[in-house]
Order: sequence, then structure tokens, then C-alpha cells
Amino acid sequence: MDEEKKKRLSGAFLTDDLIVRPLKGKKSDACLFYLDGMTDVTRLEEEVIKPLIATGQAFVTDKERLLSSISFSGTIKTATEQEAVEGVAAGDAVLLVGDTYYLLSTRKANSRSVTEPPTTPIVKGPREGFVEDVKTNMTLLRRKIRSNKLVFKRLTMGKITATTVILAYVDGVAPLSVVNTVKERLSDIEIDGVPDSSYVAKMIEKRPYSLFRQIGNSEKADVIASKLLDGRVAILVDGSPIVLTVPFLLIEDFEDSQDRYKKPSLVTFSRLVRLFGVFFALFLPAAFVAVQSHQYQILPLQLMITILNSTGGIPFSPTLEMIIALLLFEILSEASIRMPRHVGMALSVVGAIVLGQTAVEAGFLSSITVLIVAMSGIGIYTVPDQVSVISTLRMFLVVAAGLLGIYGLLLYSLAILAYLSDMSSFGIPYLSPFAPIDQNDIKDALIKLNVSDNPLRPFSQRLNNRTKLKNRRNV
Amino acid sequence: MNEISGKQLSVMIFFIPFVFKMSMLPAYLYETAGVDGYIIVGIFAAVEFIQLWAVLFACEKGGMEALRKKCGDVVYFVVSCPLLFVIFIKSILFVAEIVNYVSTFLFYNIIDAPIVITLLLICYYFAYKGARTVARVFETTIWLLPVIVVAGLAFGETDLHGDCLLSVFPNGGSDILRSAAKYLIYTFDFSPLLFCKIKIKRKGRIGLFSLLSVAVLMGCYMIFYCRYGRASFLIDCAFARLASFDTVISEVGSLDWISSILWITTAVLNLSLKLNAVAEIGTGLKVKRPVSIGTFCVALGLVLLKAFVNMREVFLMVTSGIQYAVFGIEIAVPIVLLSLLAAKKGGTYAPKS
Amino acid sequence: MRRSRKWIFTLAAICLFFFCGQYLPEEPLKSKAMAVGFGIDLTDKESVSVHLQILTGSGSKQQSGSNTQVISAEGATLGEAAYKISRDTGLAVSLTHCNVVVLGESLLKSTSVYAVLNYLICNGYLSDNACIVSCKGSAYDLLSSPIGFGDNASVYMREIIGMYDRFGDITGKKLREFIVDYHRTGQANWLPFVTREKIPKETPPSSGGESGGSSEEENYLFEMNRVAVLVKNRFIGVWEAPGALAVNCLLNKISKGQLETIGEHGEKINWYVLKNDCKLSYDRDKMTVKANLKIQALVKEIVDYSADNAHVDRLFVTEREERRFESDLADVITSFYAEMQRKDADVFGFKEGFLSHCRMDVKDVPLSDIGLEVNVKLTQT
Repeated sequence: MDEEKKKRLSGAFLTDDLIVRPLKGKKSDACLFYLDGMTDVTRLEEEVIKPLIATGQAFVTDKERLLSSISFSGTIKTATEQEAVEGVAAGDAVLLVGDTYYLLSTRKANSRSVTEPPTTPIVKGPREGFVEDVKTNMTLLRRKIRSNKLVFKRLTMGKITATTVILAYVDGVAPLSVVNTVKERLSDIEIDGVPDSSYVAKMIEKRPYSLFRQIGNSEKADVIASKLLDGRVAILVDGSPIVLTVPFLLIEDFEDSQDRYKKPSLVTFSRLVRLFGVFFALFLPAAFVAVQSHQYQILPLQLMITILNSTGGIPFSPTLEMIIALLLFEILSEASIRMPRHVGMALSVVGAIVLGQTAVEAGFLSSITVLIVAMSGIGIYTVPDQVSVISTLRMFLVVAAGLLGIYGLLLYSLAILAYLSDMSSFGIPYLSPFAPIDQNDIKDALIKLNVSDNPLRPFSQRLNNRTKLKNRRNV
Repeated sequence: MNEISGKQLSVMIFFIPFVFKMSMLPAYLYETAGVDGYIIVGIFAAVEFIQLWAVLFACEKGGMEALRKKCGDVVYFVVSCPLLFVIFIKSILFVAEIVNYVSTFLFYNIIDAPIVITLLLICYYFAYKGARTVARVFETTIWLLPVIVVAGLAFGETDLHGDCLLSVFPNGGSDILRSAAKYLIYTFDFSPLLFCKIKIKRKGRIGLFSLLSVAVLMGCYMIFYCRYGRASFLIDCAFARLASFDTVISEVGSLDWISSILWITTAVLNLSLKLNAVAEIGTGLKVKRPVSIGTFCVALGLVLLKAFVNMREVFLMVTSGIQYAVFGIEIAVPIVLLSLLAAKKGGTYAPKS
Repeated sequence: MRRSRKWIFTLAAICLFFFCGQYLPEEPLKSKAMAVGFGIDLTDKESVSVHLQILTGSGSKQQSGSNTQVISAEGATLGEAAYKISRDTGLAVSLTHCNVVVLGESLLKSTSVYAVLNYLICNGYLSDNACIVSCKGSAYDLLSSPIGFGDNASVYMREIIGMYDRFGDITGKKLREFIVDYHRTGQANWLPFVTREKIPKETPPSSGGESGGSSEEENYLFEMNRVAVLVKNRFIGVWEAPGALAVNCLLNKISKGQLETIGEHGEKINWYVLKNDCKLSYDRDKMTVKANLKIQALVKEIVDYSADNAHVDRLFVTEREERRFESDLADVITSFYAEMQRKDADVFGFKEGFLSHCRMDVKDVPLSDIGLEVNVKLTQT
């Protein structure tokens, strides 16, 4: 065994959890390097160390003879010093025999079990969610798409973290232009670390400062599998349960994972409800401020009387009152995410009931304002992935409505619409299939078609293989 | 940035001739032609579509971009400058129409400056983004139409007297000539499309939407004259009066805000298309896009706010002799463009698909 | 650099937006004098007196109720008077929810009706569909009348005239219709003429041993089954319920009408009119208008109080009685028209009809030269 190489490899790690295990042979020695906790030591003992010691032979430097003397089920390959260092850091074991480093794939998959993701609970449908281990995630996808066409391309990102990033797509379905673009963008990134998939998302987005995300994500295996079959490209990042998909369209946020499993007519209704929910969440507070301040001819007489009575003694202007109410709601919302569970219930009561009711009775806020904010707050959660976006936008809309009424509200909305119309995600217009209208895709956008009536993949992407359903059963 | 698909073009040609003929024009047409104004406006719109076909034909040959590449910057400058003048005059009128509507019916006793400034801001943004963005937003506004129909059917009450539309042409054809001569400025708005790259697959759809536009325009005029009869000349903004549910504020308010949103949106987009043309002219003359649009908007705002006391003065200016120059240029430019492109046959140019 | 420029421009645009917003001050509802009724009287000094019925809010936790107050001011013009109200109350007058415009008798009988209404026509915020009525006495008295039921006088009037379908003898006129009729050939106009009637409301005697009768508060009911007729700007007169019925039959829609006719044996037959449909045709040779009026009605009650047994054991009517209904109704219309002919008041717009249908300019032809034939066809449901 090359002592120099042993010293160099040991010296490359300044950490105390590096295990250097010398193996004494009759004529020569070998040495095993691995990190405590990262390597499957049991497997190492059973498949490598014991067979090596049991042979009682000199440790041979010839790879083939070495391989024949142990019964290791993983991969063994010779490695350079740099590769050996990286391999040990990633959880593999390195066997130094003679002057050759052998890299043994003995990484321990230490991650939580596959459960239902907490962010997307469903009533009916598969509940498998991704975990932090990328291999498990790859396995979950393989079980959905049992085909050699499912391609995983491995990349490593992060000079220090050396995070494994997997590019997944279905060969023959996903457009190669998108695959190549993603690969290029990922390869161009030189960064120290990638602890989560959101880092990757922010780095490959064209407009990272935009409120609107241009890369989709999901924690559910069936959703990702579905999207892969529609021609999307998925990005799995080791250490993150959230898998990214590109390209991403705004309409995807209005779809739910359960939409695939419920009846089309019910799903259509649900989607329309979500659309109205978002519409009310976004525009109701601003519209209320606008009609109170400037365009009150929109209000029916009885409603106007109710508003007049309700807002009579409030010391703030309608705009200020609404902003205060929205801010209170946002504070409550943020606090509820972070508060410990055992005080959550009590503080929710304090916040929602006492604060709302007391504020109205004290004349700080009007009851109608609290009602509007509550309705808007509930509407936000019909599309959970856009909560932050809607919360931010509605604040600006309230200000615009307070300044210029319905006219200001309209101009600001047009500006947002212009911004979204100009946006694209990996070459696909962001508002597709509504702008530009695609009559094929629009049939399955807000209205859900039955699986048998939707035999083609989305037209928004330039796919070579458009057909996903060939023979329909004729009833 | 300026690519427009056939579907988007169809939506645009439905709205472009419609929007600004629905504000002040109905009352003025009534003064000249009486209740036959709806026939006059139908003829206006129909003739306007002749310009559209000339413009589309020129776009198929490459439009103004092809002119610049084939004939050089000097010729481009010579053809563009009159167009710039036309766009300026029309923009003055369009901004005046929008401001008149907003300041009279959406606000109460306000000055015009904030409306002009905020309007030009948003049009600047649209023009900066390009005709493609304008076309896409046009596409999204089409969804408001069924909402308007449903809301109108649910809440609206109509009390129309069809007798008001009789009799047709009581003074013979002299009404047509008088109205046509006086209100030419309201026609021929398709020249900004010369700066766009248009992909037309189905010409039948364009014909259909053109017909629809004429029919809806005439229909709106007929409804207006049925409602107001001989008092039509008193109404300074026909659309504002029509965009109500014709019922006092019981279940809904008096303002049909959905229709108002549609009108303001399409008006803003129409104006933005003109500003996009200005940007393209500037780009052709090596002026950066933000600079050309910004300068044009500032000039427009200053002229409107400083040179005119009120919107009535704007109307008097645009319907004076200046409108004949505008009309002539609108007719001439597509013809000149086609002639020059035909003369310079060397090197084919095809718009990028 | 490019990104920072974009951010700078965006911030500059936002600042400009804010700057422009400062010129459009936020005027919340509570700082507005929301007028639900607009009354106008002409004073002796040739100025107008404007009375606005303004919502003041309930002031209690009950959020759906409202109180109103009538505030008056005088001015040379309507605008000046409205401005004075704004100034004195500290609230900006708003006419967006003004349901009713009331012309007092002094204004009605002057020649300034249309001139005074110019302000209302040009006001972009006053809805075209506000009802316009005239009244006996002062508009102030009408607007400030306590109503035994309903919120206030304006809403009460509006509900009767506008919100429900038309009763047979209550007419309604919108501001827009008034303006349109003023500009047509003939320039005759009609308005509902409102009078008020007291209905005493008894309150229980106060406790504490005081003797004496119970005190009475007055509430009012409005009678709105008369029409006031104007030609150009001149007041012609007021006609009772048959006039209103004639106008409704020919020009408006009835769906809650009622008519009484006499049966073959002197019974009183009460009819409920469900629907009317009138088609006018113009005969240029005879200078006659033919009105074909189709009425759908059902019999509600047949009673004979003069008989020993008031109850009449039938709910069907004979053919003769149906013909009688038709002729009675035709008579009502033709007699009203005869009175209009005497006054040369073309309330039905027949001159406009001749111009539209026959291309005949009959502006200078007296109404007495234009005949009317009414043909009523009853369908009993």
C-alpha cells in the first residue's frame, strides 16, 4: 500500500468523522476510508472486509482478482485521488490497495419514509410523496413509468456540496430543445452549494426577481409522472423532496393533483371555483376600496346604505383601513406558520375572533372590511401555490384603487397582464393556452375533458410525439 | 416582439374599428345625419376594411421592415414621417376620448392631467413590450364579452323604440357625403399593423370578424338611437350611457362596469398599438425604443394638457382640415409601400414565421 | 446596469402614479351627501329652490336601516343651490343614487321646466333612469313627508313607479324618456302627478294619570294615478286616473292593472290585467292612427251589492261582457285623446309616428286633424 497516498487521502479531510481502517494482509496492507454515518458499514463489513480477510491472501492490486475475492453488490471502480476524495465526501468508501484507489458505492440511504406530502393533502388518489433521497425519488418515478424511455441524466452541482441533480424526461416525448436548454443552464452554474431544489429553480429562471414563478414544482410522484408524459422535463435534486418541472404555465397552478382522479364535470366545477376564488382574493379588497372612494355608483342602494352605516365611525380612510386589515391578516398568517402547535389553537382564537371582533367593536375597523379581508383570505387558498403572489399583488391593487379608483385598478391589472403576456417559460408563453389562444389546449384548461376525449399532448410545446391515446373504447 | 397570429389579428380587427366610434361620434353623427347615423357608420367601417386588406397584403410582403431593408433608411424615413404625423393626430383624439369618458363618468369634477399621465404611462409600457403583448392582451379581453352578455341578460332592462330608426335617408344621399366629409378622422386605423409580422392562415376568419365588427357597431348605434331618439345629440359619450343596465340601482349599480372595463381596455390597447408603431419607426431610424416612445408620450401629453383647454377643442382641431391630410396619408402609405416593394424586386424578403 | 435602469424606471413610474393620485382625492362615502331624492321648486324671486333627501345612516348597530333628511337651498341655478347644500353641510352632494326627481307645482306651471333640467341631463353621475314626477304643492313637502311604511318618500315613490311592473293607472317617466319626448315632433310630455294624503297614526295614551285623548302623528300615502301634461315648456293640465290608464295602455307596459266593468245585469266585474300589447299603424290618407290593443286579463271578482245576495255565483263572463270591456277601454282611451286634441298635446307621439312611418312632416298640423281608432282585443285567461 502506498503510504503516501494514504496520508494524502487522510489529510484531505480535516474532520473527525473520517474512519481510516487499515486491513492487514499477509504480504501487503490495504486501507479503507469512509465517513462515519454516511456509509453502510454493515454492508461494507459483510461484503468487503470479511471476504477480504477470510481469503487470507495478500491484497492483490489487480482489479479483476480483487473483485473476484469479494462479493460486493455495488459498483467498484478505480478512481483518481480527487474522485476518491469526492466519493468519500459523498458517502462512498474508498479501498486503497497498493497505489490504487477503489471507489465502492456504499452510500447509506438515510431518509424518511415515503409518506403523503404535507403541502398537498388529497382525498382520493396516490399519496406517495418524494423524500430527500434522490435515489428513492428516482425509484418512485420508475415505478410510475416502467419504460426504458424514461431517461435520468445525472449532474453534479455545488463545488462544496457536490449535490446530485437528476434531469428526468421521457425520450421521444420531451422536446430536446428544452432538455438541452436545461442542461446548458445547469452546467453554466458555478456555485458553492445547492442545499435545495429552490436554489436550482432560482438559478435557471429567466426572471428570478419576478413575483411569478417560471418553474413548476411538486412533491407528488404521480403529478411528476403525469407531467413527464405530457412532455415536461423534471429536475430532481438530492436532499430536496420538491421536484421541479419545466416548462411551467400559469394555468398549471389552477390544476390540482386530484383533478386526474375525479369525474371531469366535477373537476370543471372545481377549477371554475378556484378561478373565482383567485379573482375575488385578488380584486375584492381593491374593488371595495375603489367603490367606496370613487365609483360608488356601482353599488346598489341597499348595499351602499349598509356600507355607509358600517363605515360611519371609522377614523381611517378606506384605503388605509383596508391596508391595515390586510396587514393584520398577513401577520396572523405568518405567525400561524411559525407558532408551535401546542399554542396554535389558542392564538388562532385570539387572532381571528378576538382581534377581528374587538377591532370592529372598538371602531378600529368596519365589519364589512373584516368580512372582505376574510373572504379574500379564504379565496387565496384555493390556489395554495400562489398564496404569496396574490397576497403581494392585492396590496398593490388596493393602493392603486385607493389612488385612482376602478380606473387605477384597471390600469394596474393591465400592467400585470402585459407583464404576464410577455413572459415565457423555456420558450412557451406563460399564459398559454389563453394568450395566445390554442384551441386544442384550451379545451382542457379550465374545463376538464375526459381522458378518452383528450388523446393529444398539449400543443403549447413543440413535441414530436403528440399522441398519447391511440384507441378509444367506443361505447 | 411584433409577431401576431391570425387569431389575434381577428380579435384586433373586431375591436379596432369599434372602440373609438362608440364614444363621442354617435352624437356628432346624429347632428349631421340624424338617425341614419347607424348606416353611415356601417359604411365607414366597411370602407375601412378595404384599407385593412391593403395593409395585410403589405404585411405579407414584409411591411415596413422589408421597406427599410430593401430601400434603405432614407426612403424609410420619408415614408415613416407622415405616418408619425398621422399617429400623433389620431393619438390626440384617442386620448381625448378616453379622458372624456373617464373624467366624466368614472370620476366627479376632476382635472384631466392625472388621467392623461397615468394613461400614457400604461400605454408606454404596452408599446415597450411590443405588438405581441398587445395582441395577447386583446385575446384575453375577448372573455369579457360573454360575461357582458350574461350580465346584461340577467340584470338589464331595455326599452327600445324601433320607430326611432325610421325613416331611412329622408334627405337622400346627401347625409352620407356630409358625414363622411366631416368625420373622416374616425376611420382608417389599421396602419400600425404595417409594423407587425402577421401570420395569416385562414383569411375567411378575418372576413368573418370584419363583418361581425361592422354588424356589432351598427347594432350598438341602432340601440343608442332607439333609446335616445331625437335627443341623441345631447349625449357626449354614447358608450357610457349604453353601458348601464337601464335600471335604477336596485340589484346592481347603474354602471355596467364590465362593459366599461372592456371599453377602457380595448381603448388602451388601441392606443398602445399606435405607440408601438412609433417605437418601430424610431428603431428603424436608430433611436432606442424607450426613447422614441417616451419622447412621443411626453409630446402628446404636453400638447393635450397645454395646447387645449378641453376635449371639445381637441375635437374641433381633429375634425378641421387636418383630417383630410391624415386620411390621405392613411390611404397613400400602404399603396406607396407596396409600390416600392414591388419596384425593389431584388432579394426576396419573407417575414420570419 | 440594465437591470438597475429597469428598476429605476419602474420606481419612477410608481412615483408618478402616486403623484397623479394626489390630484384625485379620496372621498369616502361618509363624506358624501348621498341624495336619493331631488326636489325643485321655483321661488318668487325667479330662483330655484333645491331640496335634497339625503341619507344620514342609521347611527345604530343595525346596518341595513337608514335615516334621511331633507335639506334645502336656494340659488339662481340648480348647480348653485347644490353647491350651497354642499357648503352648508360640509358634505359633497352626490346624485349617483338619486332615484326620483320631483318638480314642484310652482316649477311645473312655469315655462322653465326643461331649462332647469339641463343641469340634471348634463350631470354624468345622475342616472338616466331616475324617475321624474311632478307634485301638488311644494316638492319639499312631498320629500319630507313621513311615510308609514318604507324608508323614505323617494324610495317609496320609486318602488311604486319603477321597481315593480306597472300598475294600470300609475304611470312612470324616466328622465331619459322625458328628454327624448321633449325633442320629438310635437314636443308633448306627460309626468306622473303626485298628491299626498294623510293617514292618521294613533299612538297609545301616555301613562302617569294624565287624562286626555291619544296624540296623533301624521303619516302620508301618495296618490300617483294622475298625469300632468306639458306641451313644449307649457303646463296644460292634470288628468285623473283614466288619463294615466290611457297612456299606459298605448305607451307603457301593464302587468298589475285592474279594470272594472258592468255586467249584463248590472254586476260589477273586476278584471286583473296581466299584459298589454299595442301596435300603432298610420294611415296617411285618412290622417288616422289605428291602435290595435291586445289585452290579457282574468276575472277576479263579480259582485252585485244592490242585489239581495251580493255573491254572484259565477266567475265566467259572457261574450257581451267581454265586448263591453273592450268598448269601455276603447272609450277611456279615445276620450282622453279627445281632450288632448283640444289642448293640441301630442302625448302619444303620433306626429313623430307619421314622420317615421309615412315620411310626412306634420309638425304644423293641429292634433285635431289626426284621428285615432282604438281596437281592443281581450283575451281572457
